[in-house]
Amino acid sequence: MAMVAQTNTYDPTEEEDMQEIENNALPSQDDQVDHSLPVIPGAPPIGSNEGMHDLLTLWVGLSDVQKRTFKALTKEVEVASELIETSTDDLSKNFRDLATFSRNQAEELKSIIETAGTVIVDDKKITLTDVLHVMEGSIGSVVEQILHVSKHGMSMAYAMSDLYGNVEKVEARVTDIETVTKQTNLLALNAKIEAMRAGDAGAGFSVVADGVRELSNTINNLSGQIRQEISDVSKALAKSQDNLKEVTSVDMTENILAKEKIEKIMGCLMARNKAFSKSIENSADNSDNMTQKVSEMITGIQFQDRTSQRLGNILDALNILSEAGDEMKAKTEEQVGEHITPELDREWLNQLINGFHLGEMRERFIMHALYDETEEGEPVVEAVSSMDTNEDDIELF
Amino acid sequence: MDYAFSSDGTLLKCMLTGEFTFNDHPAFRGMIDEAVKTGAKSIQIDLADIEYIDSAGLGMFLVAQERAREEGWRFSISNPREKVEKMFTLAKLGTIVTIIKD
Repeated sequence: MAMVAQTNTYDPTEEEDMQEIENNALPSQDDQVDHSLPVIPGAPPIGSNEGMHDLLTLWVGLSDVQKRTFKALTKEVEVASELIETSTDDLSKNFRDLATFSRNQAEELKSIIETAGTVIVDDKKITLTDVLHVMEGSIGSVVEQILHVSKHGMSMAYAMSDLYGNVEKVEARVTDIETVTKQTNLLALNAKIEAMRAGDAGAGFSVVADGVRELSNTINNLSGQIRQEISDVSKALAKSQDNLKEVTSVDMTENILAKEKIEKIMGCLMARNKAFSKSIENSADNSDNMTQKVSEMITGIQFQDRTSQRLGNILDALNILSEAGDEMKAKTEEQVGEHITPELDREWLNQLINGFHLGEMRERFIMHALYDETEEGEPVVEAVSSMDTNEDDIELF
Repeated sequence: MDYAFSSDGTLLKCMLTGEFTFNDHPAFRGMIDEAVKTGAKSIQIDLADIEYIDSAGLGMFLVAQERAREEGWRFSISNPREKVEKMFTLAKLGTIVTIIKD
């Protein structure tokens, strides 16, 4: 780049010049930007006062450009620092949220593991194993009741058998009575015949014989009634025996099958539950690991603090360089004995600005380097101290 | 149900065959009477050849056990088949009657 001692000062109101700057196509990576210093054409003789004055004017001009560049760079560093701080804060917040979600998920999963193996019955927590035992116990109780009933039923069956034997004996005795009665009746008949054969002498005996016969018939009738009643008892006993059979003869195969089925179902349920619990446990472990990793990531994000400190140092250096420039300008003016108003090397700055690939950054650079605009209220020191404060917000896990 | 005795002097084994249900109660009771009359101090009901027992059969074992306790002789059951043994387990018969496996 060739540069002459500027006769034209840069006028920021020149819209077309601004356009020219902003419309400049972004240089490709291969473009070589020429940042070499301005050259003085037609320079006065070496060692002349005029030559020294022009040179000092150029130095002061360069110093002015540097000052403007430092200001623009200071702003850039501030923007970069803020960007890092904001992004880091957002990132930290998102990671903290992620850690909270992960922790909650782990808690939920652990809660599922705790409740998976139990059921709530009448506000009471019962494990599946207990449920199995309760069901088995219920079947066992039923079977014990059946056993109890069967034992007493069989005792009763034996007693009824004995009773039936007694009834049969009574029936036999009635048969004996009937036999005796028949014989008595026959005897009375014979006595009657003999009494009639004896004629008047046997008249009295005949009356006795009739009496005996009558008595015999009465006994026979009574025997008949007893036989009938005994027969009724016998039938009732047989019927009772049948009822007892119904009560005591329980086929327990179904109970056994029911018990086995319940055991099998509960076994499957418990196995499935165990598998579920295992899977959930693994998920909970993963969530725990995730929480741990996220916590580590949050800790890792603290690079922002270190970066801010470094950027702060850069800002301090830029500030000192800028102040040194001012000081040098004041000393030079004092030495020369006049006010030096350097002219802004617009073309050189154009070259510098066009080297920036970010449009946003270019605009800011133009604002701070070419115009004398400053954004007060966001001093570098303040930005740094606010970053230091933010450090406390980082939650360590 | 049918039965046969075998004795080794001290132990009288009553080997039952077929099914053992309510209808067998006179026969079973008679068998116990007969066994007791031999004077045996230990009577064992062997169920190796019993296919099926209903609750009445279990009731008869319990009555026999009670009689044994009252009369001072030992009552036991031996070699129930798998199905019968399951029923004994379900009914916890083993807590009341001695069940032996030869």
